[in-house]
Amino acid sequence: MVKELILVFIATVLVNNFVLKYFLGICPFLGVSDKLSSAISMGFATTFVMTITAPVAWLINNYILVKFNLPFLQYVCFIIVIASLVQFVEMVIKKFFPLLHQSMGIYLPLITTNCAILFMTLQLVLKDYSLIKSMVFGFGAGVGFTLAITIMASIREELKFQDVPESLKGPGITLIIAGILALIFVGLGGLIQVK
Amino acid sequence: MNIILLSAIVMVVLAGILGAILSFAYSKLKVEEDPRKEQLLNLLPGVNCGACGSASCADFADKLIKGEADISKCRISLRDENKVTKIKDLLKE
Repeated sequence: MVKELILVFIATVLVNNFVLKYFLGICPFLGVSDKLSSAISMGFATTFVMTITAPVAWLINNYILVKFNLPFLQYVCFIIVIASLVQFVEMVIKKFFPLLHQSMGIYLPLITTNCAILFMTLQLVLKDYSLIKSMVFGFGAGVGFTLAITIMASIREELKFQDVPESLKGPGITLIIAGILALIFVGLGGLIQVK
Repeated sequence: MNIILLSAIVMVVLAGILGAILSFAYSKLKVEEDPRKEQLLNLLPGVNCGACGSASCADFADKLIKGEADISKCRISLRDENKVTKIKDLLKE
């Protein structure tokens, strides 16, 4: 049981990294990764939302949607759960960390439209995970996102002092780095046989 | 028909519960903001140029309300005298 949970966690963080394998959640990945501190807090906020969303989505799916045979409501239900959680996180951050709220700016409410979170909820339904497993899955997805955005932000901070060709400055070099990072993560694919 | 009714009920109940939780959280976590700040932000240029020494127009508006800065620092506003008098009136209230 525990071994299975650890496998799910490692598989989600490294092998099936949401950002670098499925290319989900690219908007905050490119938008908030120019400063390490705000990148890490973005990662934490997303991890928090994902960890809470996963069990809530599981409960709604198994106890309401499956019971009443309404699987087509999955998308709408999951979206409103995600949206209200993000609202809640924004309230907490605005109240207790006003400076952080300023530096995250528009990207904080944009967690709502982070496709990685919706993808995660839909995946845990497809993969037929148990409640605890789906929680670990959500947490792992968030940690994977934090890992990717942290790596990206540290590279981009170093990049400010490097001599980048004129035509590649800004988005160009950022996208190239994202591609190289994705290639590196492909190399981790053989780590675990994912079912 | 039945399934439409059922899905409508499920959505209404779900949205109602989530809305109730959110409004309860909002009443606990509300941040008091000076109502003048929004009016000030509408009057300021809103380009976040930083010429006034603050990081953003919102930051500058905060300083204006606290009396730590003067509107004459905002070079863009200075071009429009109407706006400057409006801002000064707003700050006197």
